[in-house]
Amino acid sequence: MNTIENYQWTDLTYLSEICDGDRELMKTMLDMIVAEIPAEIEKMQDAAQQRDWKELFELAHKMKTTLAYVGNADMIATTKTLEMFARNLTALHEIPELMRSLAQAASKTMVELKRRAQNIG
Amino acid sequence: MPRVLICEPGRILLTALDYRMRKYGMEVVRAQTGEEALRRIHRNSVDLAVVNTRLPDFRILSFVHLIREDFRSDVPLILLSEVEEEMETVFNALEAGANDFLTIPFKPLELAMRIQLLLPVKAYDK
Repeated sequence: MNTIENYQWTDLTYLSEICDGDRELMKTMLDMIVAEIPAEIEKMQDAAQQRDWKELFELAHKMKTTLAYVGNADMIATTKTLEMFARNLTALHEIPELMRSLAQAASKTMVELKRRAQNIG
Repeated sequence: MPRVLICEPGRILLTALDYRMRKYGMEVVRAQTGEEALRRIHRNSVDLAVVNTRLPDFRILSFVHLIREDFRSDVPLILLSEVEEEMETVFNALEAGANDFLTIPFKPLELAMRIQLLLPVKAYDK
């Protein structure tokens, strides 16, 4: 039976490209990403709470790179904004709301990524 | 088998490049910081180095200067630069002695081809 999966939150084009279409590697990478994103968001939340903007900037920069593999445009845009605000020390009052929105988008994205990892494996 | 150092702070990209370059017949030495990479290069233990321009502990220009001027090493160097990296940074590093660069995202096959073009012939005799 053919099943057509609809993926609303993720686009793995870049991940597939970097893996040269190797499914075993894609599965390994997806497992790493699924483990890494929630842990990194937690670190970003801690940095935001402690108003450690330098740390938040560095974590957001790193997160942006990880998100490129996931292809979630909303998460990438939010992370870029966080990175910019933390680097330039502007609109810092908006950071808590941006962090909430990032965490919400991440939870939906993680569910989909886990499903995709299962389908590959 | 040629021994290639990949210095990439991002664990995910490092894993992918390690895996793919081994598939292309290279032995891969991994590093996530400039210091780790310098230690390997200083010991002459690699045939070529692939290095991200955004190292956590070094500016890329200082890194290239150390290799070419202090270590007097001629190990071929390929830089990996991110899209938003200023081209001037890459240009200065090339002027200081880096041999080539690739902009992330790139296909691993493209990196493998650049590596093969730069590897000294003796690296294949090992």
